[in-house]
Amino acid sequence: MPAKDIVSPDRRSLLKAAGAAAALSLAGRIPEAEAQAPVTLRAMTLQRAPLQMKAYEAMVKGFEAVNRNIKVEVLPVSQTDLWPKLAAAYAGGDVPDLVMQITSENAVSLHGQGLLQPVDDVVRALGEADFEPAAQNLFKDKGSYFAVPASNNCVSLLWYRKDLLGEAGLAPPQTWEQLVNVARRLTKGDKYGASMPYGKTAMTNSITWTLVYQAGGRIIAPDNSVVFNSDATVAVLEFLKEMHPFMPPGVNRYDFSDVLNAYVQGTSATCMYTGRAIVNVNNENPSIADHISCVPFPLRSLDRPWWSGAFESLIVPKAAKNAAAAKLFAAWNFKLDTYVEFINATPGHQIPMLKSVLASPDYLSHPLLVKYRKELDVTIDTLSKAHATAKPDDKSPLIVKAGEIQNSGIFAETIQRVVIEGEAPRRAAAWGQDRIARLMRG
Amino acid sequence: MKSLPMRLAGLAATGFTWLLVLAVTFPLLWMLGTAFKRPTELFAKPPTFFPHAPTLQNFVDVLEQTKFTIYATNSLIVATVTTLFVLVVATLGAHAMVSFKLMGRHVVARALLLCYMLPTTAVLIPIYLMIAGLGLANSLSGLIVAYTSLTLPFALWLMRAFFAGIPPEIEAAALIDGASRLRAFVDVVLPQALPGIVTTGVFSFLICWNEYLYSLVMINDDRTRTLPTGIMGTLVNGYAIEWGMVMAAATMMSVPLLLVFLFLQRYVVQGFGAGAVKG
Amino acid sequence: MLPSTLRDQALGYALLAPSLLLLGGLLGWPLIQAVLLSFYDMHPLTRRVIYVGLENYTDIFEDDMFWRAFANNFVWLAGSLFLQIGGGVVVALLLNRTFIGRGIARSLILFPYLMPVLVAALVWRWMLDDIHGIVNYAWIGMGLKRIDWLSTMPNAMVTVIVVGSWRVFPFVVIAVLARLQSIPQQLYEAAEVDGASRWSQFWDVTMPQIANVLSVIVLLRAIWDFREFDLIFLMTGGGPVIGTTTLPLLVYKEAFELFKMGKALAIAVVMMLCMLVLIAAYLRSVRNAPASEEIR
Repeated sequence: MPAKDIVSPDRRSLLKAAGAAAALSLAGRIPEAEAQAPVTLRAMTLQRAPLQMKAYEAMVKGFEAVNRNIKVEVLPVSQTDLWPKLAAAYAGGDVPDLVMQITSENAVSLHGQGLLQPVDDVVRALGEADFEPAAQNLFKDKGSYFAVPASNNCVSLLWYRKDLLGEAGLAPPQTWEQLVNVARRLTKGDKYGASMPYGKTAMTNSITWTLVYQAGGRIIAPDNSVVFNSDATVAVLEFLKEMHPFMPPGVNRYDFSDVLNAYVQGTSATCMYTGRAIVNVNNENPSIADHISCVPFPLRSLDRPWWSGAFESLIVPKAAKNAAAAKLFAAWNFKLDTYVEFINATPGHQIPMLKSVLASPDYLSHPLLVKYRKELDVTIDTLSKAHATAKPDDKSPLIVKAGEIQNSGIFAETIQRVVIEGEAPRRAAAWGQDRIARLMRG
Repeated sequence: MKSLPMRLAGLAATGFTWLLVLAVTFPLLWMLGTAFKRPTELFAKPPTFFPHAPTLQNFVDVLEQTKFTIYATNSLIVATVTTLFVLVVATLGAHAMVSFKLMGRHVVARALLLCYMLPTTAVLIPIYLMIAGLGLANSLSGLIVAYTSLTLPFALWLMRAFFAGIPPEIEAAALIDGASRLRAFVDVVLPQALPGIVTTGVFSFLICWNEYLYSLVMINDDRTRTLPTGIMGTLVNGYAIEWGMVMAAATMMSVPLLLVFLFLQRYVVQGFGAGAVKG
Repeated sequence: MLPSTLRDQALGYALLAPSLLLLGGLLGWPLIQAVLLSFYDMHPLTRRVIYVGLENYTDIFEDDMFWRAFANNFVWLAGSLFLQIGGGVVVALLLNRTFIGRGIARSLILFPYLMPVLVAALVWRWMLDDIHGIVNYAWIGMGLKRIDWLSTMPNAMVTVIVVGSWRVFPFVVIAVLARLQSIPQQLYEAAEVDGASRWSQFWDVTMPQIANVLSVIVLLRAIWDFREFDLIFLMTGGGPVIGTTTLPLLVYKEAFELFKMGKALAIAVVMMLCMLVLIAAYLRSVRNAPASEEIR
């Protein structure tokens, strides 16, 4: 059956009409044979906070009401577990039909291994032009989409405490140098100046790209050679080492949640994080809710801006048993009411990658987004200039092993060698280079 | 009559013993204390040992916000089914190994020992591939198969030691009285072996209840997850570790079990002494 | 031993059959597969399988990570054995005395062993929390400097060894205690008459009596601890850097994080060979222990 028949081309009706009518027209296009056999769709997701899971429930309920032959199982998996889980699933022939909110490095790697189906039909049905240009550029390879851009989030932000910086007479930092100074000045007793990841964790691995790019370096050159061992990497390692004393004591184990918690609980005056800070502060420590704000993450040098977006997407593995149903549900992900409910389960964290939603009052009217409009604008603005780590600029080719590199933990180990074991940055960079080169060969 | 210094030394030794015992059990008590504390008291300086205002909120949160009951049910199913299955198989096997003069029993014993001591990680990948090949990936049945591979060698080994401890004359007497071998087994040997069976059951249940690696690798679906990976996945690798909830979950995962074991303590100790060490 | 007829043989094998089939299918076959696949390059996602001969083995022997994990494995093993055997014997001796509440103390001492690994790891992680943990609170209270228990070396290794030993030492206590209780009291009385001190009573009477049991316990624990994965993985994940990465963790990492299944299996095979040495030693030691005749 030709794939393009699966999804209704009528994107507007899909997005705008929350009613069942549009959805029925979508369902009406499933070929009969497909519709007769009941199907259980297994959809993995990487966004799995309780409210997000609730939003998925609503999304699934709406979908199942229209597509009576399809049952959707949402399988939450953590960023840390994703790679082992996928390895196991593929090795065992138990591949999910759809992976939702997968970060771009992983999507690119799976595509690089030739493991993904094209999803042009879904993208076209939703309206290609409505997606952010950076997303189009990233996910379209050789004229065909290998992933449906879903939503973005921006970890290249520095959250800071207006009250603490104000008392110390400090301005929000714009450069690494200024950040070191701010962190140093705000570290006192049990209070720390900053919170960034140094653990052998998913977050440490994912932010290393950003720092190296900010320092003017690359990890994989356009000709696919490994260029990790560079002055830029050394500068990153030195920067992280300099910042380390201003981090909470357990920072050597920090992952996403820990980095944010330190800030939310008031232990650190700044932290590198996405807009999730907004909702966590308001839920867990409202006493500082009026004192938080953010800036784009400081740069090594102002004339070399580089920020990253997660560019989360939806992918359909080639090995999916129910690809047609997976594409249907992928399109359903964007049905306006439940899409906004999902995005705003963590207001400010997930940012829509569809321009029409980004401008829609349904999205913007969330009370927390109204209250933190300035921070939201900083986030959106930073994201508009951001790139995916697997494609550091529009012209670079995709780094097809981005996921393998990131999940190998080599970045985190390189950093820990310098910060914890006191190895010279140059030597650690050379070690990392060697390890990445081995990985690229294998 | 002991001298005064001797008695003092004895008292000191007793005090020291109790201090050690309390230190060893302290983590358990700290877990309980934390589970009943409110978030504000959790981070209090100085820390309190007994919660000032004990609350069940952490437990309610765990039960309401996570799929704890589902994970617990899964763990219970997997552990119970595996244990019962393994007990039946191992009882027959151990009896055969001990009281039938089988040819090649020494080879079997050696092979068994090897299986018993095999590192889980070595066979994890092939076993996983096999279970997935059977179409059992991501299911409780798959876990039961995997856990059978973990517990059966252990159970056979332990049981073999217990059966070996039963005087052979008992069975011989029954046979002389005209009972068939099977009848003698059921009527005479089994009752004698019962404590050993209970002990083996306790330990294989514990192994299944505890297991982390297979469950991590094999299960993707939140509805077939077991307690260890479920708790790790939702409460620890989450977006914020709430220690109150984590300790409440830990309490619910361990305390009922500890109470049951306390009740079965005799068998547990036997397992340490008889089977595990001698065998 | 009972008389054995042909019918008996048949019945015996029938009873043994389920065990043999399951062991063969669930362990024997996978084991053979593990060895075979260690000569292949296997990528789990693409399911590409290429025969590479000994390359996985030369690869691991040239890899400093492997040697580090190998060394870590022995540090972990030696540290754990020393602590749990030493601690276990001392506690067993203490619990062998008559004192108030001995029964309760003997029950309480069992708890760590019966606690699920996950629960043990989580409780300790909470107690060792950098800012809010009770251990650091007490530590600083004693006027000492705040310590990173799990994220610097050698602290992380020491901590996992302590926690690991805490978890399993009750096994040693109970096993030794059982043996202690069977030592005839006359031996001590005779020694007392000879004027032996408590200390020399321990070395001259107790030790020889428990030596056999101890050597069996040491090897048994060595075999079990050598392959420990869960506790270390849950406590440190192998970090900092690869400070607490032992061979089982390296197997997991190569297979599921680096996608080198063949190399992972090669490491597993080397690990098994190491364990065979321990197992052989165990068999010898058991053979020498008169209390365990039936083992042969």
